[in-house]
Amino acid sequence: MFDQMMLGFQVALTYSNILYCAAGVTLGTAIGVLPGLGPVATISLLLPLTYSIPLESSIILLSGIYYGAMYGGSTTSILVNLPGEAASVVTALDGYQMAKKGRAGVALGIAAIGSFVAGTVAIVGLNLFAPIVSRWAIKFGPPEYVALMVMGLTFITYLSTKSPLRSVISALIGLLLAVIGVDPEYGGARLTFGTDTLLSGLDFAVIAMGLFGVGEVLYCLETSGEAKLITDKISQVFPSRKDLAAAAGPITRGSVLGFLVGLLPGGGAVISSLLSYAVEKRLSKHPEEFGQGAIQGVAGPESANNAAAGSAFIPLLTLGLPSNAVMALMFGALMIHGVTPGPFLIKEVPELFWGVVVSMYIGNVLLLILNLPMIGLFVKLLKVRLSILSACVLVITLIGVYSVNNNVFDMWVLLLFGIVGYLMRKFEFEPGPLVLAFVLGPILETAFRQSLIISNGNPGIFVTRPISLFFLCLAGLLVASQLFARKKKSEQNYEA
Amino acid sequence: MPLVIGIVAAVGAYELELGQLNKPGPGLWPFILSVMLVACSLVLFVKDVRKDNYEKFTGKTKLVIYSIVATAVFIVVFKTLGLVAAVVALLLFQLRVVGAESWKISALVTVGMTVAVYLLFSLWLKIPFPGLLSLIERGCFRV
Repeated sequence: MFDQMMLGFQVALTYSNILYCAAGVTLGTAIGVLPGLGPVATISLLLPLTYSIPLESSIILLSGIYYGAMYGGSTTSILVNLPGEAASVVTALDGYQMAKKGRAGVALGIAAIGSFVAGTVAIVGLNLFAPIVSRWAIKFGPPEYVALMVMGLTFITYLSTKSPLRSVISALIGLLLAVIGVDPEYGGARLTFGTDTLLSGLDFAVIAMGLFGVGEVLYCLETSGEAKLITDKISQVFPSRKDLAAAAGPITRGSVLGFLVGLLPGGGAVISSLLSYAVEKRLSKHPEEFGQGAIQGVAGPESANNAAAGSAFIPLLTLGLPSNAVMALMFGALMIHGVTPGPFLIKEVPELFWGVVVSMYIGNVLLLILNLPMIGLFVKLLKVRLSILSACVLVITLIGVYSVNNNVFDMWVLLLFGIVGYLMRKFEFEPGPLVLAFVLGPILETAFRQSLIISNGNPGIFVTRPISLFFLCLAGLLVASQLFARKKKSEQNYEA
Repeated sequence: MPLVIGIVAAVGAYELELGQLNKPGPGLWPFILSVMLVACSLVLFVKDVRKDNYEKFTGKTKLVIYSIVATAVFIVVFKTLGLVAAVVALLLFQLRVVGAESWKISALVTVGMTVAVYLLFSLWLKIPFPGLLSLIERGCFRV
């Protein structure tokens, strides 16, 4: 372990990687602060850039954006009552009330401190557990992988949205899109409609940038509201001893809870912050204070979303299973560089894993500095109008996508997926499952076909091997519990 | 929409030979997927066709359509005239018409972004861009 950490320091402490880490967390904080532009859109915008910089640096940069956004998102929630990104929705409930009572500084401070503690807990967890999990996962064969991915996709579709059916459809379309191109075993063209341009398949970066970048821009044009700052003077960001004492419990619980939820496929930052808020409210002696500016309601969720952002890297780097849309983008970035995430990743490219882990420690410290003394600077960003921002994002996306393959055809695909992304949001389909499924598609298909070959055509192989059966049972249980809960709910509605 | 995709894909997959279970052909996997997709879409159709489930299209929707058309024009201009002309045109349109910014702000942002984009992509990342103007820039037409 010690040698490996040293290797990590060697990678993370080069000038350029410190710079990438700093750039990542600063950009992350900035886009976290800006409502409408979240980490998913930003990371997809930056995907083309990862072609031209080294692998470690690009993952350091992209992950910095992700956990940086978790810090920044709270700022807008507290000051404008408009979550900067989805994981900070609940922070707005109490954070905005605190700001109204003149305690904006304290709310921001406690959010930053909670984020720091939880972020560090998650990195330590990643540091210790990831190598263990990946040693265990090496024993997996194709059937286990099929079951694991089916379970992952089931969790993602059921946990992430209001309408699981729409998410299932979204995921299936993603899997189908992944089929386009050359057959992995026989080499024949599939679903290319006879064109040569589709022979190499659709580019992951192009789809992600279309759905998240352009789609988001188009959607924002229609829905954007004006942001009203409650105050732009932030004083006293360091909470008093009394505030710290009140927040200590929620921060600790939030860190642990967030870490565990982040491990689940489909879990991630959004759900963990919602859960933490519910837990804190239930445990509180004064639940009536929640929604009126309770510091616990800021401390818990903000810690939880940061912890989840960190622990979500574990399934990606050990099992090769991205648990949310951001992790799917990371997966894509790794594949661009010819690295397949999975149990062998830590062994085969140790400098990547340990370098990224060490950079996260550094990034967290940088974020604490950015978010405590320098938060005033980022608040000024809220004065940038969305119309200006979205125009610039559109231009950068278009040119960025061209730069991937120097191909104008990709720009048309981008526009097409931008429109698809816009319509999906309109009709309440989640683009997340589509991208995830697209990334997992080729691996899932290959594993599926290998399993059938191993078992000589008997689909029973998926339920006769214990680990695989276990995963499928988990998926089945989840579906069953959801259907049951739904039925109960509709019966209640019927009676009422 | 998903229903149509599902049916097209199912037919396409079927034509690819499904193979046997113990010798899965290229079409087996997409066929399974598309059958599931068709099934799910049908359920969705039956379950909620109610209109109130969807966000309404508002007066601002035309801004979205403008932007889509503007982007399409951008791609054409980008291919024929080149990077700078396309960026300037798209930014001016998006800021002035879609964003309703003042001329002053639109012009300032456009100039700033164009320079930034040019420096970043063309000079730093050295990406060869298409179009007439870029060819002249690179000296392809020097007499």
